[in-house]
Amino acid sequence: MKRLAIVLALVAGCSAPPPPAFNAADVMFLQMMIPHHEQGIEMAKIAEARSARPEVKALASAIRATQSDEAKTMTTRLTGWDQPMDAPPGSHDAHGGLHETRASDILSLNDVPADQFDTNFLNLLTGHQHNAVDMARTEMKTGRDTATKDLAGHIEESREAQIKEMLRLLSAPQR
Amino acid sequence: MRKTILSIGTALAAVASTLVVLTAPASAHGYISSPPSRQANCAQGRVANCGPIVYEPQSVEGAKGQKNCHGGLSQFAQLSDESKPWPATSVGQNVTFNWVLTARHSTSTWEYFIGNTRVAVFNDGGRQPGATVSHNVNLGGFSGRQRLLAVWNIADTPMAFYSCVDLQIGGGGGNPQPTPTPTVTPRPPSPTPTVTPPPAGGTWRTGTYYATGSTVTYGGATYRCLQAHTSLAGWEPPNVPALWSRV
Repeated sequence: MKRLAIVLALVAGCSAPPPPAFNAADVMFLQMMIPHHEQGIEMAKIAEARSARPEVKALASAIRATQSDEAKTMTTRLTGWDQPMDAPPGSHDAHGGLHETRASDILSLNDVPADQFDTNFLNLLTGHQHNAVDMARTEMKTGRDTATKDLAGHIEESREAQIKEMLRLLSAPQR
Repeated sequence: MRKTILSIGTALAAVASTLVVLTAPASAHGYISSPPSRQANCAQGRVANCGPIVYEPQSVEGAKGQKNCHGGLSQFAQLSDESKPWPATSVGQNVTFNWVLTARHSTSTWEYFIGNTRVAVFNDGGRQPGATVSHNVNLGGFSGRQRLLAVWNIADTPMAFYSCVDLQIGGGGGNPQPTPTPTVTPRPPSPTPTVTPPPAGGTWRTGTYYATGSTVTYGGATYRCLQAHTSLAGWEPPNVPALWSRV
C-alpha cells in the first residue's frame, strides 16, 4: 500500500489529472470476477439444457441472465479505466490455484448421467459461488471505487441467497 | 504523459499482486451439502442462531484426529451444540454423501464415523478431488437417530475438514428422504406455467415466483418481469436489469 501512496503522490505532484478514483484491488477484482462470471454462465447454460427440474432450470436461466449483465458492466468499467482484461499471470497461485474452478470440472457436467446431473451441477455451482462471495468480500474491504464496491455488495448478497436456494434444492425431494 | 500513465498501471499491477497475497481467503474448502450437514442446515436458514458459520459453511478446518462437529474452532462451537434442533434426514442403510468443495486440496482420506466406529473410509492416495465428490456409505447396521461425523483429511497439511450429518436410520431403502420438520419454511410452488402470477402492482419480495410480464413495485417505481424466476435477496428489480425493466 505504501508503494501505491508514493505513486499517487508523485502523480499529484506533477499537476497531472487527479489521482484515479479506483485502486489496484478494484482492478484485480474485476479482472478475476469477469472470467469467474463466464464460468458460472457456462455451467448455467449446461443446466438449462440438461436439468430435468423446472426449479433448477429457472434458477440457472436467471443466473445466466444476471451474470451476463454484470460481466458486461465489469468489462466496460475495466476498459474505461484503460486497464488490461487479464490479471497478472499467477494471480491464482497466491492461494495455490486451488480455488479456481477448472475447465474440466465444468466440462464434466456434460458427461454426468442424467439422474446425477442436478446433484453434480448444484454442488459444483455452490462451491463456485462461495468463491465469488470470498472475492466480493475482499473487494468490499480493500477496493476504492464506490460503484465497484457496491457491485461487490450485490454479488455477495445475491450469491449467498443462491447458495441458500441451491442447498435447499439439494436437500429437498425431487418433484 | 502517456508514459506516466503506463508506469502507474505497472505500479498498480505490482501492488495488486501483493494485495491478493495478503487478502486471499485464509481457509475455505468444503462441507457435506446432502444429506444436509449441520453447517448446510445453518447456511440454508433451516436452523437458527448458528453464529458466523452461516457465512462460511466451508470453513470448519481443524487439526486432524478430532471427533467433534466444529473442528475445535470456538467460533463454530454451535455446530457441536446437541441442544439445538438439528433436523435429521431419514435414510436407509446405504447413503450417498455429497460434498461442496471450494478448494480442491490433494487428499489422503475421507472418513465417516458414527460414535467411535469408523463406518467407512475412502483413500484418495494424495490425489486432487474431481469436479464433485460423492461417497456411497453403508452405515454398518446402526439404526435410529445418529450423528454421523465426516472428516476430509488433507494430504499436504496437518489439517482436516469436519461435517456432522444428523440421520434417522430406518431399515431397507437406499435413497435419503428428508424428514419433514416444523423448522422448514414453507416454499412457494415450483415454477410451472400453471402458477398464478402475483397480483399486478404487488410489492416485490424474496422467495416469490414471478412470471414473465408480471409487474411489481419496488422503491416507489413499477417494474415488469423480463424473465420468469424466483426472487432472491440481491435480485431487487433495480439491481438486475436482466430480470426487471422499469415501467
